[in-house]
Amino acid sequence: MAKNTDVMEARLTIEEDFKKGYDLPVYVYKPWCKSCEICVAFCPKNVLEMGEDRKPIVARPDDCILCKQCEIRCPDLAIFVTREKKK
Amino acid sequence: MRMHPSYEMLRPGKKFPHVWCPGCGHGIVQGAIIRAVQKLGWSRDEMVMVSGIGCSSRMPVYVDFNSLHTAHGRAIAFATGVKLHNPKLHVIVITGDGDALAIGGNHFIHAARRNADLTVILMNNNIYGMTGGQYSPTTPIGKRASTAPYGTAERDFDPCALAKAAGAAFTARGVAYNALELEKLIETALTKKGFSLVEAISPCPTLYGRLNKEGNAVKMLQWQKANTINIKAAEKLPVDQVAGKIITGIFHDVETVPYTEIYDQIIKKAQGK
Repeated sequence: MAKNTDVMEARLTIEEDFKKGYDLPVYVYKPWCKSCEICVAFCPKNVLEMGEDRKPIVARPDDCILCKQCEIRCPDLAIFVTREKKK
Repeated sequence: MRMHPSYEMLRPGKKFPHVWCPGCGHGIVQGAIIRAVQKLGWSRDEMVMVSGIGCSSRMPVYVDFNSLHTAHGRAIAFATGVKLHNPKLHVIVITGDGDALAIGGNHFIHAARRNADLTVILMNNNIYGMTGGQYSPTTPIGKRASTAPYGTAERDFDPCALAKAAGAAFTARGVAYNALELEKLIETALTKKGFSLVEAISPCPTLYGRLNKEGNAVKMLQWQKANTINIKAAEKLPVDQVAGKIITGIFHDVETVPYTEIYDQIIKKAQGK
C-alpha cells in the first residue's frame, strides 16, 4: 500500500517528474489511484491499459486526443492530461 | 507542462486519496464542483461549503473552501445562518440522499419554502453508504439494501419534484457519468438567486452495486450512460420509452426574490428607515 500524501507532496513529485523529462500526454499520480479502471474503460481512443500493479499505464500515447475524459471522470483526481489542445 | 487544475482547490495537509471507495461517484461530483467554481472565477475565500454526515459530507474536508461539517441532516439550517450573516458569501451545501431527505427532510423542504439563497448539491447514491448500506428515501422500490434483503417495499422520493413543490427557484439533475453536463448545471445553480438544487446521481459500487448485482464502478457508469435521457429529448419521446430512465437537465428555473433580500427589508422596516 502506497503512503498517503497531501496535495503539496503530490505537486512536488509531479513537478520533479516533469523536470526529469516526463513527456507523455497523460500523467497518472499513482499514490492516489485506487484502481477503479474508470479511466481505462472510458478512454475513447484506448490509450490507457491496466499495468501489473493495477494502476493505469499510458500504453498508446500517440493515440491520445487530449479530450480529458479520463481527467474529468477520475474520482480520485489521480490522472490528468499534461498538454492543452492546440486550437 | 500542465498541472492538474483541481489541485489548487484541495486542502493542503489533508492526506489523499480520500475515504471514498474505489470508483465512487462522489469523487467525480467533487471534481465537477471544483471546475464549476474555477470557471466562475470565484476565490476560495468567498466560498463556503457546508455538509452534514455521510459519505458525501466528507467533501468539505478535502476542498479548501471555508467549511462547516455539521450535525446529521442539519447542514441546510447551518448554511442558512451563514448566508443570513454574510449574504456576499457563496454557500454550497453538500448533502447525501439520506442526510437531506430523511434525517434533514424538514430542513430541506423549509429551506426551499423560505427560498434561502443556497446551492444544494444532493449526491444521490440510493443508499446509506457510510453506515453499511441501509435503504434510504431514494432507494427505488424492489431494490435490495442491507436492511431490505428481499427488496424494499417503499416508494422512493424524487428530490427535484419535492424541492419544486416546496418552492425552490431552481432544480436540476445530472449524473456522474456525464460530468461535463453536471459541471454546467452546478455552474448555473451557483449563479442562481434563491434555493437551487442539483441532484447528482452517483454510483455506489461497494454497497448498492454489490447488493443489487449491478457490477463494478465501470459497469454502473455504463448503465448510467445507457439509461440517461436529457429532458429536452425526453419531452419528444413517448412515455413508455422514458419510463425507468434517469432524466437529466434543468426541470425548474424561475426568477425569485431570495430570503436574504426579504430579510434585509424587514430589518430596515424594523429600524424605521
